[in-house]
Amino acid sequence: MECVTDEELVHRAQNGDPAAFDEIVERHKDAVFRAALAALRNREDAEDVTQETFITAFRKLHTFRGESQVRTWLSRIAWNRSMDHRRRGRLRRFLRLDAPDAPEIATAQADPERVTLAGSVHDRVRREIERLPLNLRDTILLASTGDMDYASIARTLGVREGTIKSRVFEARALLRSALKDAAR
Amino acid sequence: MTLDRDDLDRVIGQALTGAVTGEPRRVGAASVRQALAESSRPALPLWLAVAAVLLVAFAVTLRESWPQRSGLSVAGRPEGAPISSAPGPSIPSPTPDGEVAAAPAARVARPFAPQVKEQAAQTAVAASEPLFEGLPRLAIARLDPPESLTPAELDSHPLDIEGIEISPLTSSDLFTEQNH
Repeated sequence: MECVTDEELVHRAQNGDPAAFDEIVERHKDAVFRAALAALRNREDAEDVTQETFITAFRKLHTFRGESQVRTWLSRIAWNRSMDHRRRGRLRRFLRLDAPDAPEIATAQADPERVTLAGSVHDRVRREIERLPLNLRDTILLASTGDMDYASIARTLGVREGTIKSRVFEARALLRSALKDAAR
Repeated sequence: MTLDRDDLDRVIGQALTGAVTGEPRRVGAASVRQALAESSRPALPLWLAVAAVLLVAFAVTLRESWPQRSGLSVAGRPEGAPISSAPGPSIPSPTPDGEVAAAPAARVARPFAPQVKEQAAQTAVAASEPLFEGLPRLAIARLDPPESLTPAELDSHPLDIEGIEISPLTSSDLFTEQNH
């Protein structure tokens, strides 16, 4: 199934091929999970939403008309489910980025002092991300997944592509401004 | 020592990416298929639903077959209060031999409504029967209603009232009353 397109998989799944839907799940579960993680910032909840997203997608498979990419369609479902989670207030504990999930900071030089400093700045960056306005934070985190271009993010969030660009720009500017004392 | 601007941009980018990096550990095609299979099953087995309906119907039928219980609660008895046939508050009344005896106030107020009271008492007794099931029954001798009065009986017990002397009114009495 490697060479089969998403649209063909959906068509097969719509006609009752369970293996085709399995392939859709395997292809897109990571992207769906990261979209949910961008919204919820809690891995357990993101996993729950990922599962719910594919269940919803299976039930609504007949409504998919191919007007957007399958990944965008799934991401939109995942985003809506994540917003449901937020509204229900289940996720009050999530508002902290898990330190173990943060990648090691790559440094060009193996300078221990510089590595230590970068680590402390990293913690500050995470705190500043939390302080961003919600719409900016959602947008820049969704963009940081690397799974979708701006147009797809715009469809997922239901806003214009230009809005996504300006939000990403503004979020980065706010982070730089908040951290300017850490920069030379 | 501080980071230069390029380092800061890189740290920001890495922090953002790190916040949304990863993959689901327990979600896959198999888990989704299993969840779909579970969600397609009815929430309750059919036999359990039928049993629940029958149980409710039985409970309703049983409740309706005990109307006395509900009648008792309508009568206003506080929950937990003992059921008794105690008479209402008594008021003293003179007896023919001059002693003061107690008589039920209700009977004094409505001496000729015995049928209504008897029916109410019978209902209360019937209502209390399920509660006192198994206890020895208290036998009470029948109380005959009093015989109604006849002109002959009135004649045999004449009511004697002593004469009252009333002096005739005079104009001076009327004048005195007006001044008062």
